[in-house]
Amino acid sequence: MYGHLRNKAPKYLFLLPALVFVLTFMIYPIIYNIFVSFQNLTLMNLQTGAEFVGLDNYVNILQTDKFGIALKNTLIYTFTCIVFQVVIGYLLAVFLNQDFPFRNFFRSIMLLAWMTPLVITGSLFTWLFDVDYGVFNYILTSLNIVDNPINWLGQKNTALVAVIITNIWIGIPFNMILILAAMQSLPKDVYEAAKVDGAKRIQTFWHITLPLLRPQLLVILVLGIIYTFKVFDLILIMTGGGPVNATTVLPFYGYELAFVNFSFGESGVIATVILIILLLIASIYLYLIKKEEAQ
Amino acid sequence: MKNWVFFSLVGLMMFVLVACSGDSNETGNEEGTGNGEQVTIKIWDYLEPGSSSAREQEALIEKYEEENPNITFERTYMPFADLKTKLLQGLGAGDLPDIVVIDNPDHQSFAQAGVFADITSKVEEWGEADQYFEGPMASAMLDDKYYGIPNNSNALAIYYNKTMFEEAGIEEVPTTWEEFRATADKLTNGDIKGFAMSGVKSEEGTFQFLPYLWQSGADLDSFGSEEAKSALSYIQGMVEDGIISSNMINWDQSDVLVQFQTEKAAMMENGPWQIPMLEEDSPDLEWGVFLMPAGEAGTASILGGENWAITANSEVQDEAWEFIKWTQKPEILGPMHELGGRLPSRADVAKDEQYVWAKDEHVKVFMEQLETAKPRAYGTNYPEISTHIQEAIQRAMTGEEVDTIMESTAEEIKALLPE
Repeated sequence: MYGHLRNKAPKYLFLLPALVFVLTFMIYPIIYNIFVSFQNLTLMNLQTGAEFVGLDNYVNILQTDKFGIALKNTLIYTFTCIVFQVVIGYLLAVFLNQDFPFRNFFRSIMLLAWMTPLVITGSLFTWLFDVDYGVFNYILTSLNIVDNPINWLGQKNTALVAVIITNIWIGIPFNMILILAAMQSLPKDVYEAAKVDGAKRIQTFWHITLPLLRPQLLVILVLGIIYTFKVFDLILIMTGGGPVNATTVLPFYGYELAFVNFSFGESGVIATVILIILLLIASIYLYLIKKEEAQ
Repeated sequence: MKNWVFFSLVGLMMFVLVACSGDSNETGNEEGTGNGEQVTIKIWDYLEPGSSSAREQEALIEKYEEENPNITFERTYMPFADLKTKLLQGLGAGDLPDIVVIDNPDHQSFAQAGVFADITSKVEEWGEADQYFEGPMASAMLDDKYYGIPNNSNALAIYYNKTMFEEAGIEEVPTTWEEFRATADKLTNGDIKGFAMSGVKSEEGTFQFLPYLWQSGADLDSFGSEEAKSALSYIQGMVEDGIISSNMINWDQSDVLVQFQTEKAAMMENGPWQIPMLEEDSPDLEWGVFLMPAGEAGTASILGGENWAITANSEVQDEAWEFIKWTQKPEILGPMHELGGRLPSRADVAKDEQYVWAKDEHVKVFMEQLETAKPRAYGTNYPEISTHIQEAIQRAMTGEEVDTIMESTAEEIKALLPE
């Protein structure tokens, strides 16, 4: 036993740097955040030290209207974005999976949308959506679809839609590339067999492509949900959470509490809520993977 | 995969946490001041590189280093919104600069948080505090103690497009709410709006709205009153009638300037820092400035500007104070503020005939407006109060009933105002 440990010890030593890194930069912040969410930490007692207030922060924050609105917005935003991104991404992947000239060129140029910094994309779409000289309104009014230009980012009922459209545009290429890569690894002979048996296109999709792509799609979905759930920059650039609270999402609300109102304890509550939701999603994913492997 | 989840989670946590992880033991200032005469003074400010105010800051530093070879400066620029965050992080980590240039409505909050040193004895010894205008000075004080001194002031006034005024046959600039609205109405022509102001969901939105609140005779402690309601209705009415673009809730003050420069708006509410921009970028535009219109309680504007402050834990407080004192000497402050396109906060320099603010017709208007400019001195909860006001503006401009907005907002800010 002792000898065994001595043999293994150097190997474990190699793990140390990674372990220290994970502990200081990941585990510690997460635990500290939960810790702070039970304190009345504000700008005023940042230096002197805060007191524990039990569940006060949770009671205060979870009761506000704004929390409900932010949670609802986050869920709508995440769900809509993911559905459209994956569906459109899939369709584009099918298209780019065909053989045609300049295929690789188009594949890589599609990625541009994803590679552009969010600040730039956000500012560009802010202009595109502009009520006075935005391109979208120009097209809509000249085609007589609407009579008056829509103030996309300035109305409570359209602002979230506008931000969602922007994010769908940003996310499509990423989903497309992942799905495309997955598709190319699918065995060809199954499709040939299906063809011989006279399967229709829809049938091929439902009974061959989808089941075969399932593991990869699962990964894409979970990645997408996590990536979309923590949206912050786009909101900050395009609307600042407004008009009123129409585009306030949880991460943005947390930011506002911490760095505008300087109420770190309450902001910790939001961060903890986000943590719990994402942990739930991650565990569902792990459960599904386990089931898959067991089969 | 697991790692991915982890990384994403951590990324999320980090932004809330960086500011709070305060227990790490930072080793203090590397360069001790005891041995040797060389002193390094660290300055943090948000004066954007290339802007006229940053030019002034650089000139000040260069000149002082020349005159005092034993002093070197380490100036760090950070964007406006980042400065506060960085100060918080610094406070947590015990790693702050020696001098901070801060937006005056934030001064009290950070003084209360213990970021800034109480320099009352230094200021009293100096004996020039009474030269300063009351509003700016009050913004640097807390409980009758000095936590810094004002450097420069600004106020909002109305810019107007002279050519458009002529074309519309308007000869007199408006002075009251009614006249102002009528003028703006006359100037509105389809795509071209009579007036542009900012209603963005940030401090800039509050900054642009508060003057109307004061003009109506109301204040933050009477936010639900009839007067206060009339102020918000006044702006809401102009947006509803298309005199102000409904897009104003997405505009910050630079966007407002663009509207004016591109002649999409005939008048705009803006500050003196836009004068150099207009002169440099739009030399063909014929424009002028007039005072904010008067409501029931007369004209009023809002005080903006920057203050100097020394941090509480600085090891070179005396040297830092010497520098700040030097920047405030009339013979330094005058020419330097001229270079920076800023307005002085002290009366003796303001009255000095040789400077641009006593000569230039546009700047003169701003100097006059400063006399009726009120500071945002609403205690340490002001940042949060401001978010409620921003929300109220946005609710009104998206069509909600003014009465309900003002009453519910009044309720929310009541608890946050100082006793």
